[in-house]
Amino acid sequence: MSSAPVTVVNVPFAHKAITEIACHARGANYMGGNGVRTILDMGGQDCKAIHCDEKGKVTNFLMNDKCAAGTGRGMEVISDLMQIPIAELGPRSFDIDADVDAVSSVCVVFAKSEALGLLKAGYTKNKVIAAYCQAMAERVVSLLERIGVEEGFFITGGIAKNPGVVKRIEKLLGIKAIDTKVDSQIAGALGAALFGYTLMSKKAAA
Amino acid sequence: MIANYGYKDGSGEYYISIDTDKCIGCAAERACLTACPKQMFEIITDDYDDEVAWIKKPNCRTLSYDCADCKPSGGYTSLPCMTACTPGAIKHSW
Repeated sequence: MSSAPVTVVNVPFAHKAITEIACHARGANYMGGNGVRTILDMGGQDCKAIHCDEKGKVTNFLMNDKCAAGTGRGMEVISDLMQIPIAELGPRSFDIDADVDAVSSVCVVFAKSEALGLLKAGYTKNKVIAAYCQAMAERVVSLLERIGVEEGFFITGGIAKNPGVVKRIEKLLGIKAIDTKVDSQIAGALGAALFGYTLMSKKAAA
Repeated sequence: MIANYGYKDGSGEYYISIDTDKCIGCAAERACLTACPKQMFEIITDDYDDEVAWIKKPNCRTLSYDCADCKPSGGYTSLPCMTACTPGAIKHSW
């Protein structure tokens, strides 16, 4: 089997590290426009509330990476518990007769335990999912309120694809998140690429 | 930039905020580095190439315990890090 020729490229900024926080702000600014001011990144393992200026430069941030509450990992736990694909959780959380109270928003272990209790008490799976989506929304809204929420709200990360959480966040905050045609899950990677592009351009101009 | 380091858990919110605009070109000669008994502060170059203080990663998840000795229950009437930071860049949320 012949292998393809390898092209060696010298990347002059390969040693440089940029935080995910700055990358998400830059990516959100590119995807949502320069009106983006408040960013919520709900990733698989952490959650970040970020403020940025019109250029996508971070002006205030807060991150929760200590526990799974408010992260995609927490949603995976509920997905496994319910035996329902994670992509279906959001739409199914609206398929209920009336709003339900949130389960614990402090800890995913507690939330899972409460969810099991609700199932035993006769709640439908959809009602339990709705209770968890509400808990997740309340958790991240408390993070956002700590740094303050401004118009120009943008959500990045995998949970941005979950309407069950997004709509509940919008309801709690009273503002609508900016829509984008770009995959919200790549915001951080896109921001990192933009940082790299800027560094490369500066290097080329020098 | 306001950088918040810490977490929220079942017992409360524990954040140390650093105003990096006040931290750049520190007028207190980086006194926070030696003022903290747990040596939690460290000088780094941030994403925008400014030299500022931050809280070391492992301490970000244990702040309520790490800072306990410097709180009133530990015998202090004012926090050593906030007292040492004369530009007023450091704040505790609890």
